[in-house]
Parts: sequence; C-alpha cells; structure tokens
Amino acid sequence: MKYLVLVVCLFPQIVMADNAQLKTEVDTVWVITAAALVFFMQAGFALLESGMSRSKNAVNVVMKNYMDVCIGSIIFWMIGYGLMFGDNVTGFFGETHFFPQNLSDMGYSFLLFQTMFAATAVTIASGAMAERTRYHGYLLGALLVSGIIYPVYGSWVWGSYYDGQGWLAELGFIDFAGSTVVHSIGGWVALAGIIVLGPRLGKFSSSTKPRDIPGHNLTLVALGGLILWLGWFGFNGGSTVAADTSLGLIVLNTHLSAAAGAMGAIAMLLLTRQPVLLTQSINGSIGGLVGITAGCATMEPLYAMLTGFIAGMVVVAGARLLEFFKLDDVVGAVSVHGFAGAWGTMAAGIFLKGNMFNIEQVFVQFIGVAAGFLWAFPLALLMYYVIDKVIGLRASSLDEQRGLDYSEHYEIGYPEFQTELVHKGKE
Amino acid sequence: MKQAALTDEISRRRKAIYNGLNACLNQNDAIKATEIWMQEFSSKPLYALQPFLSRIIEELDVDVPRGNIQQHILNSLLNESDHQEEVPKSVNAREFEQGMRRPSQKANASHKVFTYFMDYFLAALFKSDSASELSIKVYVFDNVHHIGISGESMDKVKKWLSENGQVSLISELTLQQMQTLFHLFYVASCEHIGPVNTDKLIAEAVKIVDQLPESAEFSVRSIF
Repeated sequence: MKYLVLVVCLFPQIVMADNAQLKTEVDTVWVITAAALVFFMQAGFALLESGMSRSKNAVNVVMKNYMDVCIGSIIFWMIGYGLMFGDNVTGFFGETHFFPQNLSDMGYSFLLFQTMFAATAVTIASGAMAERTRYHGYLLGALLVSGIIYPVYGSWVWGSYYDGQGWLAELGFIDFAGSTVVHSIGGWVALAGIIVLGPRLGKFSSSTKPRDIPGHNLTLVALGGLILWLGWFGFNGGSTVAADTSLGLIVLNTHLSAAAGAMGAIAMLLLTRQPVLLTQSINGSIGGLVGITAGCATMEPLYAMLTGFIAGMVVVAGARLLEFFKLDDVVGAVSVHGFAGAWGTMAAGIFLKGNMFNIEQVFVQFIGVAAGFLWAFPLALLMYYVIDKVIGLRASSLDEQRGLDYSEHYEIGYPEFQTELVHKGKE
Repeated sequence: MKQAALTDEISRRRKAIYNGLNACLNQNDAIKATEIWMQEFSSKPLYALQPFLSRIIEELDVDVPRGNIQQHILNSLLNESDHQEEVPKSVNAREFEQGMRRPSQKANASHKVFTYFMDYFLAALFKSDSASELSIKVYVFDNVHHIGISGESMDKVKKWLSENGQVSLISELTLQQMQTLFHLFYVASCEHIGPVNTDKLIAEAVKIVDQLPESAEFSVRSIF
C-alpha cells in the first residue's frame, strides 16, 4: 500500500521530468534539422550564383561559396559566437564564450544553428562581386565579415544568449530570423564590395547604358532558387530554437511571402515594361523570403504575402537603381538581401500582429535598419578598400578575359570548351 | 578525324590547282604558285580565285593572260580525277612529310594563324560597330607599348592596324606578345560592343581559323 502511495505521489514529477527531457530532445532534433536546412542553402547560393555567372567563372563562384562555409564556420566558432552571444554588458558586443568548449547540450545545437547563419551572411557578397574579384582578397573579406561585422551587429539585436542584452533588443527592435541581422548586413557588405571593385569589363557602355551579361545556366539558377526556398523553412522555422506550435505560422508565412515575392517582381517588370525574366522572378521570390524573415513569427499570413509582394517589387526596382549608379551586381544580391531585407524589417514593425501601424515600433525598426547600414557599409567599404590596396581585390583585365576559373584556380568548369587553358598556370 | 578529312580535302584541291596551273605555266612556276596557294589561299573559298591570280601574276611575273590561267584552274577543279598528276614535292613538302620541320615553321604557323584570326576578328568588329573603329584603334595605339616589343616593331604593329591589315603583321611576336596584343583588342571591344558580342565575334573567328591547316600546329585558343 505504501508503495502505491509513493508511486501516486511521485508520478507527476516523473512524467514532468520525462516531458522536459523529451522537449529538450525534440527541440534539439528540430534545431539540428533546421541547421542542416540552412547549411543546404549554401548549395542553393552556389547554384544560383554560378548559374548567373559566365561559364568561365563557374568554378570560382562555387569555390567562394564553398570556402565561405569553411571560413565562416571556423571564425564564427573562434570569435564570432562570443562577440554575438557572449555576455553583453555594454549592449554593443559580447565579451565571453570565445572558442566555446563547454556548452550545454542545447548550447551546442544553438551554436551550430547560428554558425550556419553566419556562413549565410558571409556568402551573400560573393554573388554580387562575382567575375572580377581576386580569390584571396575575397576570402580575407569573408573572414572579417564573419569575425567582426556580422557578429557585432548581431549582438545588438540577438545578444546575449547568456547574460545582458543588445541595445537594439532593449529598444524592442524586431528581427525574428534576420532580415537585417543576416541579409541586410550581407547586402550592405556586398554593396561596399561592388563599389570598390567597379563594374565588370564592358558592363556599361560609354553612354552609361548597362549591358546585359547573361549567366551561363538558367536551369541552375532555378534549382538554386528552389533550394534556397526549401532551406528558408529551416532558416525561419529554426529561429524558434524550439519545436513548438508557432512553427506552422512561421513556415506558412515564409512560403506565402516567397510566392508573393515572385509575383511582385513580375508585376514590377510588367509595370516598367521590362521582359518577364526568370532571373528576376527567382530573385523576387528570394526577396520575398528575405523580406518575411524579420516578421514571419509576428504577422498574419495576409500581411506576410503583402510583405513578400512588395519585397519582390523592391528587388526589381533596386536592381534598376544600382544600374543607374553604374554599380554592377552580378546576381542582384544588394537588391535582394540589402533592400528587401530593409523593407522586410520595416514591415515587421508596420504589420506587427495586434499592434499594426504603431509609429513608435516603426521608428524603432527604422533605427535598427539605419544602424545596420551605418555599421556594415562604411566598415566593409574601408575593409575592401584596404584589401584592394594591400593584396589586391580586383582581378586584372587579362584574368577577367580568361575567366577566374583559369586565373585563380587553374581548374576549368567546362574544360571541353577551353582545352588550351587547362593547367598551364599563370605566367 | 575531322582534321584528317580537312587535310585530305586540301591535298585534293592542291593537286587540282597544280594541274590547272601546270597546263598553262611552266612546271617551276606551277610549283611555286601552288605553294603560294597552299600558304595563303587554301583556307579561302575555293572558287574565289582573283586575289590568288593577282598574287601569282605579281609574284612570278608570268606573261600568260589572267583569264587563261583562271580558265585552266577552273577546268581542273571541276574535272578532278585520280588521273591528275601529283604535285612534285618541293623541299619544304619533303621535309613536311618526313617530319623534319625547322623551328621557324612552327613560328610561321603561329604567325599565320594569329594574323588570320586578328584580321577576321577586327574586320568583324569594325563591321559590327564602325563608329567605334577609331576609338578602338586609339586605345590600342596608346597601349601598344604593353606588348613589350621594340619601337620599330611597335611602328609596324601600328601601321598594320591603321591600314586595316593590308600590310602584314610582324612575324616575330612571341606567344605572350600575341596574347597581350589580342588582350588590348579584347578590352577595347568589350568597352565598345560589350563582352557578350565580343565573345560571339571571337567564337566565329575561331571557327574560321580552325580550318587552316596550320591550326593543327598552333591553336588560336592559346592566345586567349
């Protein structure tokens, strides 16, 4: 009898303990799965950017994406994570957890997930700067972006995972999965990169009219776009860092916004009497994904669609704006990640569920967007300028003519068309 | 296989040309004229004979009327048969067959391939954008010192350019100098007609030049 009483008394505790353990385990599985999905986005970036480049630069573009993951992951583990999520006493950067070794079980999962985010932020610039950037200069830039530019801004919004809070987080800035933290920061870095680099040979005629330089494989572009779309379910869904019931809304909003983004891009193309291009449509859907990233957890689906639709329009208009200023963005990364990210972050405040059109919230969002630009753009501009002067960022016109596959890697993506160039080495 | 077929075709034509010439000229002149055809006209359209006739009349100082030579060559080309006489082997031909080429022959091949390619490429470039011809030339004139050749050679390159290939390009360019000269045109062309159109013109020129017999020895792709 006394055993029965004991079991009855302890049962709720046993069940609760098991539930807590189970919750942690399920959360871990979800976060790791989401991290894998975000990692898979690198494949999407590689295909999309490579497809939008000419065949003579295909290897170079893929190599940059590949090494972005490697460099971004290691540097983020070494110093990025500490700067971003370490104890944040000042509100401006983390001060602990560098070279993290002894984390909690969930802490490891969180670190892995955030590492994938860092790699994503770094790789955004690679497409914009494609076809005329020297490989080593680019990698040095990637190292500084993943080690300093990205994590410091991230600490303002998402820090700390342990103790203290970033100054933008304290203001109530909303950026659920990183429209600004990841994408706009990457976009502003890309903008700085293309300014320092200058346009590709012959991109603009003497009358400043932009010339179309089509990529070599639009099928790869479409496949890359779809892979990114899939990966985004992990990008936004994983940002809950828990397997909870909010996932449905988050992933639905993500999907609807992407679909609306493509439609927004097409609408803008039609309105401005431009041909309805596959590349722009795909960029539109990615713009929709970028746009909804900030507010995917705090918006009704209707507004998620509206956010995506406008983001798609922003992507097309932004690309035209860059061309007007003679800025050569090969894949449209500045427009897709920078401009659409900024819009999405504002939209997260404008369409905030239960508190829509709150001017104070919108103002906070504006401060966050402006702070992101003012932090990342000048610093990246300085960084690329110094890299260009010290080790060289812009490839020579001869290398550009021959293609960076040959000049930077001595490895040709399509050797059957360039047999004379294989492995002769640089003179 | 394709290259072998092309070589056979040229050998056949060469035989027909020789037989046509031999019917109206003495054998020595016919051999010399056939060599000229091989070196300079074998890659041109077969029945476009006027430039070839002008050349041999000027070079060999023959007194046979031009129309007669043309008639004999045309007859020979139109009545090709196995019974036609083989072309007597000149010293160069014998060396060719015995694989005893002198080093300069390699240089000759590269020079010919490069010259032919550049002539074709520039003609197509200036045709596609005649308004930019002057500025492209000015750009190359201004940067010709990057090629790394003597002042005298630079003047020859400039003359070759200003006379649209009517005078021959200097033959002593090294591979690297050819690459640099081509690169100057590539940059200028990209700026004026864009990289996509430039690549198209290059692809067309390569297709033509690949049919030259000398392309078996020197591939034009090595100048890119």
